[in-house]
Amino acid sequence: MNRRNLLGLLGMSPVALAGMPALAATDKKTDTKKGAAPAGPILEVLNPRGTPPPITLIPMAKRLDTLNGKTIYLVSDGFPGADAFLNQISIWFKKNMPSVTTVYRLKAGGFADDDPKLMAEIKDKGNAVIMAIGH
Amino acid sequence: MAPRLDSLHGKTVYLVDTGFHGSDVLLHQIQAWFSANLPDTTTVFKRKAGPYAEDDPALWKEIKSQGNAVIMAVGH
Amino acid sequence: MGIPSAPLVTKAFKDLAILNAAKRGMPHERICFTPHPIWGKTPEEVRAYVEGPDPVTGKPLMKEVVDALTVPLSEEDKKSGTVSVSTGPATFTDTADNLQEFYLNNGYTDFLPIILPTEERVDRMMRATSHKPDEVVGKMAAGAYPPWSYSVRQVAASAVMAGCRPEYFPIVLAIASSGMASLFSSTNSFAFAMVINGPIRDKLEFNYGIGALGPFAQPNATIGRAWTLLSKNLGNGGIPGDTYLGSLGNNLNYNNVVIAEHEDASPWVPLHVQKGFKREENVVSLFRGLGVVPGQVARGSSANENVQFDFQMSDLFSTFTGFFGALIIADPLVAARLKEQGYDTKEKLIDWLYKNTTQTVKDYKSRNYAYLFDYPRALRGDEPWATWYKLPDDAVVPHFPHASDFNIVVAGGQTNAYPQAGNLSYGVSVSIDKWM
Repeated sequence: MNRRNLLGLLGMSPVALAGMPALAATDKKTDTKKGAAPAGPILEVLNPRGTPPPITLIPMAKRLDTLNGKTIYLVSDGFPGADAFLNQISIWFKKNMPSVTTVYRLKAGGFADDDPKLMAEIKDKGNAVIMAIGH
Repeated sequence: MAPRLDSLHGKTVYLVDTGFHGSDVLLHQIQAWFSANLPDTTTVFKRKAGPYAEDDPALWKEIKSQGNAVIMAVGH
Repeated sequence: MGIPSAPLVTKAFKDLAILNAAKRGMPHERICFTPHPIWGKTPEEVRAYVEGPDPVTGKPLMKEVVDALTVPLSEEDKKSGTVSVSTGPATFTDTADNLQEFYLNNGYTDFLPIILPTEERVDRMMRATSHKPDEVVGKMAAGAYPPWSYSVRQVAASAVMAGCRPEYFPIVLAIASSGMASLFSSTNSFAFAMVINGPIRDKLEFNYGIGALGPFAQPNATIGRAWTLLSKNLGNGGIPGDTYLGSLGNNLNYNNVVIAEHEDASPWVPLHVQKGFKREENVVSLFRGLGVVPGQVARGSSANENVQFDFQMSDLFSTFTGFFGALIIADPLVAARLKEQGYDTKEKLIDWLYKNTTQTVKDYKSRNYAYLFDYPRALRGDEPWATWYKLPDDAVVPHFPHASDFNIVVAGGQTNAYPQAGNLSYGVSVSIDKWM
């Protein structure tokens, strides 16, 4: 990840970053001073950034001991190719883990919209979700 | 500037279209005006060759040989 | 929901996925990556992806997926609580040259030199509004991200940086209050536009004559630029790979399309009045879409024909994506001609364009946005898509789903009867007067 991407997390607490190797090399440029003596008058200027919201940590759902005998929902978010990709995953399960039941669903609404009906169905009848995909 | 004519009576006036939209329509109306108001003025309509800012030496030669004056139109 | 999940994302969006998961509270979400792109591939190619490695980790993809669902959670995975996020100190101190370099290197600018936001300049900017420096103006997110909030003072800093005069500040505040960023995350590289209406156009000397959409007046240039800078700094937009994924980018993002409507030369009601404001009110209206194209290239513009601007526009709009709307920017000569042809109101022209810009259902279904956005809406019962998807392929439907997808403004210097057109959707109109 290059420095520009890390700017999105400028100042983020190390607690949230722990265990994320991609973010290990945070490079916060808050110190403007260079090695040589400054030339020209010194100015004080405002930090132009807005105020990010605090992050509420969400505990992850408990994992399954095994997938054998379980029902996995394969949920497409609607991006082109997601259906074909999930179909291949379904074929993989049939071949490699035949006791797993897969159920394909296209999430309703736009890709970022919630689908409460589907979520309720999964909670009622499913044990896990594989969701795909961005492009 | 070139010397002016004493009168347009009996003269040949070239009506030269630069190619902008509507020039032909305007010049044909001018031609109709001459027919109605100065009937002994001969008008000759010509579309200049090439895009609007380019020279047309063949046409200038013809006008110099056969014409007495030019009305050229138009910008838009 | 309590159901374990394994999200799959293509490799191009690795940083976006990781950062977004962290910002939304799951920094250890077990995201698995696939090669990019996956659309347009044959079944055999996709099978190879599924049976092959995750291109980020190199591990077998399906083993990662199974592990994502079954490997027990660590103590970090189970954490709850709140994490505060800081953007650094309130001020920076250095020489002007070093500060320019610092701002540029930290993504605060549009890579053009800025006016440094000293306390004095920011205070002078804030004197142009009656609102207090610490008043919260609004919230903004450059996509499906948690929004950032910002105060009058923070908006003033971006306005200073853009080169705005203090008298422009109420307009910048109005734009900031809308919450609409002019840098958006989509891979489609969106463009944005604003329309200014009301007496403020003349008071501040907006240009709506010759070169109305070009770099010919300070308010047009700097207010447009301020929208981009505040979208970056206050909405956290424009970070490539994180909050900006536009594949090609859009050159219009530098200062957006700024249109002051030529209200006096228009035969029609100005845009803000159509949106419910009084003529004497000062209003800024915001649009989002893909860009602006010239209208004079369309068929039916020949000198030998009786120019039919309505057909010309309809022809042009049929090449637009119906996912966004159509914003007609008509030179006053075009507007006058349309009125002569019988369109004495904008509504009459819009009605004609809506009914006469059409496509077959077969063509409609073949469009990328129809599959991605409209089909899921159709499944949900949203109209008109629910009906369209039930029609036979040879049925004809409008190119734009609603007549309200069309908007018209008049601007230009009357040197020629040319329109331009934006594949742009109307977003919102905001009172500028409220921010004075």
